[in-house]
Amino acid sequence: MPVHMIAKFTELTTRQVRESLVVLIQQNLAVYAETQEKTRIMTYYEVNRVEILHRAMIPKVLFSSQEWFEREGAVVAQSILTHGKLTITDCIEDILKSTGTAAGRSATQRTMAIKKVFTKMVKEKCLIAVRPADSLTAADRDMVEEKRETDKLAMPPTAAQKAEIRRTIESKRAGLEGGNQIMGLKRTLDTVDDDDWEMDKRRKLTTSDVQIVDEVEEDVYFKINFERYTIRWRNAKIAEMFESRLNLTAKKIVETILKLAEDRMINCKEEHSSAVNVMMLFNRLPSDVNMVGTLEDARDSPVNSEAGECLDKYMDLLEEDRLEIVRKFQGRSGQYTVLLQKAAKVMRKKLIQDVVTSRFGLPYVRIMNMLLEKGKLEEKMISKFSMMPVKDVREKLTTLCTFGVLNLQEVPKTQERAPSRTFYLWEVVEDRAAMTIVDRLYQTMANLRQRRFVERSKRAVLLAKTERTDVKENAALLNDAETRELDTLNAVLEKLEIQELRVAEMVLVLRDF
Amino acid sequence: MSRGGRGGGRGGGRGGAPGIPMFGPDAIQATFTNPGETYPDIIVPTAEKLTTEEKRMHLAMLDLKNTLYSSAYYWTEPRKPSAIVRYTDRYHQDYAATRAKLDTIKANKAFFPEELHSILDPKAVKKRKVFKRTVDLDKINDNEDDEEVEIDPETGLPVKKSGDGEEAMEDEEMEDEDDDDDNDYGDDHFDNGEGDDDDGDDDGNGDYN
Repeated sequence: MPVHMIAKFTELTTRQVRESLVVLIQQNLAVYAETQEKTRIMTYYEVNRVEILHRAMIPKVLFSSQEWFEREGAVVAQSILTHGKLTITDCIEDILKSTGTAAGRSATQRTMAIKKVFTKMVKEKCLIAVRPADSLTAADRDMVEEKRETDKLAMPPTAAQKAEIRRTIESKRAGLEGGNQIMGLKRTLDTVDDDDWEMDKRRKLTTSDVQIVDEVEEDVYFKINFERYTIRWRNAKIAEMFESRLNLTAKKIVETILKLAEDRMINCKEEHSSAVNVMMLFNRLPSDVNMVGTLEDARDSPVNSEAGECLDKYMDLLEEDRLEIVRKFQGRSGQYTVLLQKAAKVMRKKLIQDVVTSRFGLPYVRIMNMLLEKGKLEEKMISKFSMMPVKDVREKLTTLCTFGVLNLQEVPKTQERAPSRTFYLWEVVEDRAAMTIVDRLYQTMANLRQRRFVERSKRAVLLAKTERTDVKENAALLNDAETRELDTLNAVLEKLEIQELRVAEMVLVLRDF
Repeated sequence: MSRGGRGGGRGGGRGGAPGIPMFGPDAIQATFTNPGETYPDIIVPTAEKLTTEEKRMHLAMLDLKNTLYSSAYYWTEPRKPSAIVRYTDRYHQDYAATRAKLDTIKANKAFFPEELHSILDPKAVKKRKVFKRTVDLDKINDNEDDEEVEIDPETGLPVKKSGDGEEAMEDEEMEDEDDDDDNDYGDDHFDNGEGDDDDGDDDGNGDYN
């Protein structure tokens, strides 16, 4: 929609609309397309839905940045989330301006520390480079690329050539995303911190005095790569699943496998991880992992083997697990892979069962599990297998169908499709059930957000008072009742926001994993 | 798409084999013979207690929100003076007045379309591209397909070469005075001469052919 249409619908002035669009594009929430219409260039704007939906997970992004990259990582993430996209130089400048330097640390030391963390985040793909072309709509970008390729041809392209061009563009994009070369990172030579060389600078530099280091390009803008965070959260959840099924050591082993394979992961929808060698896994296990003495044989006596043998036994246990998520890679011994989509399916199924249990109770989940296991069943068969009367079963089936978890399939016996001569088969379609629950979860999030606004509006006068400059300087100007009310409000808002985050995590499991 | 729970659409499947109607109002009566109380007691589920990690996430989010609210990205209406002057008005700050402006943000113009550049850099001289149509009668029968049109990869628009073509683009450099004002008079009323192309054709008597 162009600016004047947006102004018409929103009843804002065109200047306000333009300023808002600048903010949205800077925060990667809107894209635009320019077209020439007669004698003018018209600009149309569109919202970037995926980025907007990712913003619900920002609290977890900030927390995870601190967990993985320590304090400086959290500060870098906060700076980039504030400004949408930043270069490394602007990010360092913003951080020094807002947080200053710690006692006993110079600005140069702080700058080097932030630069190091920023480079690490780019190398691990938690920050991703943004090009000006990313501000265009996806369709426009594809059209421009297609036009460039078709212009190289002498004749107008045939349908087959167009399909080939589209495949080339797609593979180029996949290569950019999944390749080893990270956009925005360049390799430079740097001298090794070697005292001998420092002391005697007259001698010539040799190859042992220099090393290749990765450096972030100073004029490239970076933004938070929510996809990478989602991949890491999914991997953590898969490892947690094995902790509940086996033990902590199994969790650590699966965690290490996924960490080794993570570098080659592009998005969350991949079928399986890349292969991990058992020797590499053994060398990269954390030092605090204790394998010896954590296994028991069939006679329940502890197995005292070497660590290497224990690891082999653990890998056998993981492979024999009923979930069948950890498998040998293409049947080769010594190499293992994790079936990511299968693990995601297990997590989705568990979440759907938990939602139905908490909402309706165990009998409903029993019917759902039966249908998941057996496929399509008639009412009579469900009643027989679940050992419940037909009336109860019918009520439960109708309730689950209204909720959106079950589907009904009609199979007519005759061409007339008379109800008396039709089979009615009930089934659970997992993907559809997941999407229905996602819709309900978004409604829940909207309710939570609305409740937050209502709680704030109920205490609007008190909040206006706390915004006063004299009250900000001297909190004693608020009496006891007002202070208690403010504490209650803060506690309520904290609960509501964390509930929103929990619901957003559930949406992540059902939709993005 | 087949779905269950239809109300009355099929006449309730009367005379169905099991003798119990599957759909329709009869089915509801047959199923829910005992509706129960009007307002039954509901056990309201309570949420799990907040963990330490969640509290830290909340604090981190609060910190980010406070940073955003005081940044140039958060737009608020300027505080309008009320009809009644109160003693406490001196303590109410006008955030819109103290907040930084959008032209101070660290942004690269390459990410934005041209019509938004004036917001990022109000002092920049704005080039207004005016497309004038000039028809060259000598070349009117030439094959138009012979001309190659280059496409700018960033914007996707054709890059016109200047020459004796059907259309020539002239850049007029003029001071951009409109954006210095806060009103939108220029956008609403001024068309910059784009509607003047029909001047030559405009006939007071009209064309009644």
